[in-house]
Amino acid sequence: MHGRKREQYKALQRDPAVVSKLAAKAQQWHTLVREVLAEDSPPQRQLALTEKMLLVNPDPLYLWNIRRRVLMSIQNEGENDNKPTMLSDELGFTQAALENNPKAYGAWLHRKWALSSSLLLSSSTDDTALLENELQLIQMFLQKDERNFHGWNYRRFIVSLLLGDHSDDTNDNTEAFDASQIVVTHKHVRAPVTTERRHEILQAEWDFTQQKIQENFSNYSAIHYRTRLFPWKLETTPDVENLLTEEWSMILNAVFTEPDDQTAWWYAQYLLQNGPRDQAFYPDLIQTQAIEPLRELLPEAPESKWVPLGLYLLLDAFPDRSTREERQQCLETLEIIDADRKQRYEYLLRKLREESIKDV
Amino acid sequence: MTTTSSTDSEGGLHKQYDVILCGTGLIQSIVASALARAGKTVLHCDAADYYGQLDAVWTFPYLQQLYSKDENQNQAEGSITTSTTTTTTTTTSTTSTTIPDTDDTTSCLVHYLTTQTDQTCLTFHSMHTKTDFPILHIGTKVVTPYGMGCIEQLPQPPQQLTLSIALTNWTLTNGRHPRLFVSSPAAQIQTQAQVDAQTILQQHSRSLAFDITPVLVYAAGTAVDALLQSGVAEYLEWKALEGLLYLNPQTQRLDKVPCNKNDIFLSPTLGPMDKRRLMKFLQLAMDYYGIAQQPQPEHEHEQHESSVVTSLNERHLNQGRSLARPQNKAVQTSELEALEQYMDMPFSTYLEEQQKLSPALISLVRFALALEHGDSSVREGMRQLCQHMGSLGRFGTTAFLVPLYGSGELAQAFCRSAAVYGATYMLRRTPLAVQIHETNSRVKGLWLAPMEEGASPKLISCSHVVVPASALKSSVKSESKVLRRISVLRGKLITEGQQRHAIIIPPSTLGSSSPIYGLLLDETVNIVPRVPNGCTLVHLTTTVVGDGDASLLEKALEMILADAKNDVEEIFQTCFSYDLYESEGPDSSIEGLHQVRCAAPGLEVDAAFEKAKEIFSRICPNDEFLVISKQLETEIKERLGDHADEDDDEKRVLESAIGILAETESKGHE
Repeated sequence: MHGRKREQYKALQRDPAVVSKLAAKAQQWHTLVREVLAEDSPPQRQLALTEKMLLVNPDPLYLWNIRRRVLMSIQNEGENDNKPTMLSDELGFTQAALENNPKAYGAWLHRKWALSSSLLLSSSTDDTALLENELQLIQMFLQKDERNFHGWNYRRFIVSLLLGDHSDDTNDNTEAFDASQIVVTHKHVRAPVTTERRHEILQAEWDFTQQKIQENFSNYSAIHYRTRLFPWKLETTPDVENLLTEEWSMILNAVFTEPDDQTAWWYAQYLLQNGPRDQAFYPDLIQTQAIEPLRELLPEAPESKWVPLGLYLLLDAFPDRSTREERQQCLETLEIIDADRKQRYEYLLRKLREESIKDV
Repeated sequence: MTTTSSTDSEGGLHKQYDVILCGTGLIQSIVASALARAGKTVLHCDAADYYGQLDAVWTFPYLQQLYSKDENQNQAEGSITTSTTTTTTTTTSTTSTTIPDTDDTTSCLVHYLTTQTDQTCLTFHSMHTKTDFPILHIGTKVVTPYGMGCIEQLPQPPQQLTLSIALTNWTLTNGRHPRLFVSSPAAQIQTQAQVDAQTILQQHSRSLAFDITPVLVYAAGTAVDALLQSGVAEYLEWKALEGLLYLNPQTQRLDKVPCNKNDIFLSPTLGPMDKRRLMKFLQLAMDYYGIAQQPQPEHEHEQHESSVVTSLNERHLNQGRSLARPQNKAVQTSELEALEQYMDMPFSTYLEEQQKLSPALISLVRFALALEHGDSSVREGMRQLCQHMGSLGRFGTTAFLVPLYGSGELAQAFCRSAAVYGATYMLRRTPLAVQIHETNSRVKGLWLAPMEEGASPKLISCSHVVVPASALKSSVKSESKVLRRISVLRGKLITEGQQRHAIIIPPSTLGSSSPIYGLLLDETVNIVPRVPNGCTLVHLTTTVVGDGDASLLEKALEMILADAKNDVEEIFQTCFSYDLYESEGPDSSIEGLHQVRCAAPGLEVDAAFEKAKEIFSRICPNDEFLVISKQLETEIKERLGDHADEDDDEKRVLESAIGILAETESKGHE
């Protein structure tokens, strides 16, 4: 939880009244754990007990595993009739558990499993609505905590399901790995959508990151997602120059508002490396949109390490003789204001000297 | 509490009170409540038949009646008089104002009070209800017996009154609207504007209420603390102000006031370098705010309690906090030390020379962020700025709260709470004069006008009298006046979301001597009627020197309306002014006589609470201001009960799980 002081939280736990309450709960919890883990524990009771326990604490993975094992065995032996409702009940249940602790790995994993399984079971006609519902829910979770990376990961999982493939840029390997451990692989879950629909979905995601960044630009998760979508955007946008002008202007606005916020710098570095470097306009664009304003900012923010560092990185991306002295000055400033990383700057200075020797 | 021995024959009045307050304005009402809590015997009287004086809320018919009376008087006497007629009651009674002849009255020991009422304090400049709506033209929406329509064609010459009307409520199979050709006198054609105006001003006139002094309250500040601590908050309901707007002098358009990091990041009007400098300055202000709060460690705990984290979002947490530096950035102590040196410098000079802000940015910081009225020092400017920033993010998106049932409620709520603690209230009783002790210059009592006609005035003894400065004949009027314009608009200026917005017009925009403060309210506040096309109540307030230019606020409204994208039109307006008084009156030497002076109106009302506290601590130097009595506090606690255990979901769920165990076990035994 952001914005809460650790000492205050710790102090609360030293309060005898709180301690005795917690001790009583721990006692009950241990009794329950013993019961659930007992080898002769009946499956129905395991299901009922894990439900209660996971509502209280959605963290323990072993409880989720027991629950999943019970559900799968019921699925395999029982009649088909109540399977879909059972799985949609699991969706409601994990939502309740996640509202208690939105960062419980087990709950998110269980939700992915329940969702993919129910997609496999259901007729393919109505699952788009189900997935779009999931997107709505995730939006709600991200409204509560905009930097909950579980939420962002799950969003990418849902989008990859919507798109019907997972080989696209929005989905990383670990994500596919997560899901494939439980489900066969979600490649089989849905057929790929049409190209048109695909662009529609991805554009909506691009706009979503935009909205989140506008709400608070200090949001790594949103920027990160944007970088995952960027290659697709670059490929499909007709006016690439305009796209990059806008992205750089967003970075500049963020940097001028708060030069010490690393989020914008992180995106700047990404764009520097992944922008259309082969196109002629790009160095010029960076020159006018980034380098020149930063030169102006340099005397205004003398205490901020990111301004000289950012300027150095930009200049270094398109190394040129004429900027060598400026790059050297940046590094020399950095050695003073960011003494903790002095060795690194000295290494970069040495490289710079080598470069000039080569020229001669 | 009432002992019969000291009770007067007339209306249960005591012969002796600790404090008598004249006028039920907000400041006196707060003082009355605080005094009654401190155990003083309090008599609170008002010549009018309603609470609040100039802090009252008036209905539309009342306002109209008042204006016509004012106009008649003007015609009859050529000027506004301070006659003894009480204009509030329908039967104008001429009460005897002659105080019985004693030795005292001949000497200077009686200070006569002006008996002018609140209404005569007001000088009306204009009141106008719009009836002449624009001439019909193509596209004008009209109301016909066949439903709503709009004019498609005007025949030439226009005297021939045959109009072609598309009935927009109906659609033919070809997708068009049926046409109606009407030949009727133009006078019988009602436009949408006319219908709207009639609905608002005639059918819904009773749900339209005019605050004579509209107020906003800082979400964290003296006023809110006093309201909460005193329990008076229980009587009142509030809504968060939705937006703070600024009429940009350069573009003459309404901009959102950038109050936090993200507003600054998104602002389209601020250039990159402006963003940097503004952000840097606001961060300095937040550091200064943090230091200013440190010397009160016992207060810090309270701060924590009140800001219990309910949201996980930085955005929803204290928005002022989003101005704080990132964790990797150290506080620049050198800059804070520098700031300390400039404390007595004019704020504008400091912003220009030390912070290197552009003129546009200086105006924004001074008037929209620090809410400066005139020229203030760095100390005062920073205090105001910190107050604003510190109130951000506590409720809603701005730093302010709007009273749900009009600002007039505020004075009434405090009177009510004073009555709960035993204060005596008397409306329709005009205070006539303050009696001073023969030997020393101390207050001895107050002469009250009699209840019945022909009876003689009554002297009630007391040791303190609180009177509005305007009632003392010896008070010196200040050069400045408060000028206010209240308008009713058909339609809404802001259509996205709810319309509860404050507008700040800096002096440079219209060349006014002080900033102009505006308030836009819609039916989400219960003093504006709920009508089909929406309705907006606009308050505009400023301080003018001398007689000022009454058309100033008209220009301000025009400018605001020019920025509107919707079909909005003013259908009623009234403009009035009242005097302000110099801070030091000649009667301040009399012990026990306390004068209430309204400060030049700003956007919020914290100053009234500070004034009230000042008067209270002069009367009761050793008592706490506006505390709830221990007895009442315990009663409230008992009523609410201790629900802490019931809120423990975890405990409940665990117990029910244990219950499952017990259940299956008992089954197993069977």
